[in-house]
Amino acid sequence: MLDPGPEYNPSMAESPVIVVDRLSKVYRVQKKEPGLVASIRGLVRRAYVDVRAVDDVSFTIERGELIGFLGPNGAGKTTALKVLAGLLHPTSGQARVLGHEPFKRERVFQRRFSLVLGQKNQLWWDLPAIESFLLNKEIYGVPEREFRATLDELVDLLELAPLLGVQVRKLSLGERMKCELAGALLHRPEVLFLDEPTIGLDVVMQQKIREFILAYNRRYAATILLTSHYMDDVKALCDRVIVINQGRLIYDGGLADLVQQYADDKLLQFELERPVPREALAELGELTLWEGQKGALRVPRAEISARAARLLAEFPVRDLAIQEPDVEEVIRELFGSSEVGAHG
Amino acid sequence: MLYLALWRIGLQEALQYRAESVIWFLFDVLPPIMMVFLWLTAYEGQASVAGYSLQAMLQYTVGVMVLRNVVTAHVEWDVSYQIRQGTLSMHLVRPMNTWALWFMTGLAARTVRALMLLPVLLACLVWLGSYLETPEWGTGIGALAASLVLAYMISFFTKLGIGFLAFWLTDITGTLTLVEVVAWVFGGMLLPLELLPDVLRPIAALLPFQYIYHVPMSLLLGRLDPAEVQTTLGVQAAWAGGLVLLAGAIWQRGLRRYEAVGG
Repeated sequence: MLDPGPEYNPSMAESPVIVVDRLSKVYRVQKKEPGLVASIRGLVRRAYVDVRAVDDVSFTIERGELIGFLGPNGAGKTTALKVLAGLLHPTSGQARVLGHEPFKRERVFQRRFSLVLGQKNQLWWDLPAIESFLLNKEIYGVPEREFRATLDELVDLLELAPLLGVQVRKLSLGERMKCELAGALLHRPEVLFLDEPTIGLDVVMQQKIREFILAYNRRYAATILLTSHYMDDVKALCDRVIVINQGRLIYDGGLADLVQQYADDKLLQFELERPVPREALAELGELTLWEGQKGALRVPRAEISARAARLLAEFPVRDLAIQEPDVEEVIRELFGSSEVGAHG
Repeated sequence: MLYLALWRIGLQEALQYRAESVIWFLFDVLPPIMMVFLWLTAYEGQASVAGYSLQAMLQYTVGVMVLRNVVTAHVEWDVSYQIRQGTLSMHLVRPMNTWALWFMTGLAARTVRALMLLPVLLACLVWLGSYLETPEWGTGIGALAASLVLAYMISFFTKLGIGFLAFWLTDITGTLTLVEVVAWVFGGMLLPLELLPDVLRPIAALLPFQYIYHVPMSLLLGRLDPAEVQTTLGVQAAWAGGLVLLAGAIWQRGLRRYEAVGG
């Protein structure tokens, strides 16, 4: 069953693991105007602009939750994660993880969580991964027996056996990521912050990493916060998503509800008996996909039944399905992008 | 146990860079050896140069070769790299003193260098045997050991502080190389400072580098009387202490800046 780990305190089970209250992180950035005159003026008088990387964000996370942080580039996701990991201190508001203020970087706190930044390595580049693992054992003070047991499990779950003795720089990106993850979990953290864990990986490896994260979450009731650009990560792993755009929290809830709530449209996917001119279909809705006999129409939610009926009546339909729009599209629209994605 | 593990991993890391290690090693070993050849010729016409007999000069040259390898810290390269790349963040989130990591891996690199130097040193002793008679160990060995330990501390914390400049400077390698050159000129890393023009000697006294090389060598060669030995050790200790504090101050400010630009 679940093995809670050495620091688990049953009385903490009731209180939330992560509490973020009106958190803001503001950077003072020097404003650089173009042009020579402005540069000269800049020597004497500097103009600054405040960048609100995280703006008045609040949320609470309970033990064992697997949460996805969604948002476009520069939205503030990684900044929020860094505040929770103690790398950045809040400009205003509060953040508490496992009852600690992260920025104090108390050793007791640091032993209970892990941060994996997709693009920054923790492992020693020129040495086999196992050496970094052994060092982590000392850093986190993991007893020998526990270390062996955890290592064996991780090696098993992540198929690391052939990789442990190979220099990290010789591993492929996917293999390196697996080792990074293992290295971050040797001390059985209760909280795991993952920033873009599948970035740059091939589809097969992405799937494997996802399976592992899910398995780890289920087995140890670890609380996991994950940021990702890949909707597939979030769809596969997270029941709950927090959407951040321009530093502000714009949605916090179930992924399915997000689609329901924000998608004004539904998709009518169809397959016809024979080809039909495109213009004829255009009356029924916006054609998002058209492959001669197969297609998809975007139709306002309220009209879906009426349009479906018309489609069936006026065209030789072989197959018909009513779908929620793609989550990516919903998110994109949420951010105000005017892109309409073509499927396929 | 943690410190031992850090030292161990530092050893392994240092042993990985075989080609690079050899190049840096030659850099610290060839110039002194060349100087030995030069002195052997230069002293044919005279008995003393800048107050040093041939014997003393050869002792200085071989001695400073040892110091270049064993007492010189090169931590500024790793530190500045980790700051610029942002891998420092991965250290900061772990329950570990980052300075301990740098200190122990630095010691490990010195250990490897010392092992590499051993055969060269033995060869020099065989070659120059009669010139390298043991100096007055009796009075000095404790003081010498203290001087060497302090020399390492000075080297380490100077380089550490300089590495921290990476918090502000984007192109740090130019600065690091400049520091090497300054250390060369004003440290007595090849020639005793008595050979430095009189105009420049006061500058050498204001910099930490002479306390890493020239001063311990003077002590080894018995050129300081007991009172001077005491004051010298005191000055070295003051430098070491001051540099620790200075490095600490730069670190604190640097961290604030690191955080201000997003960590």
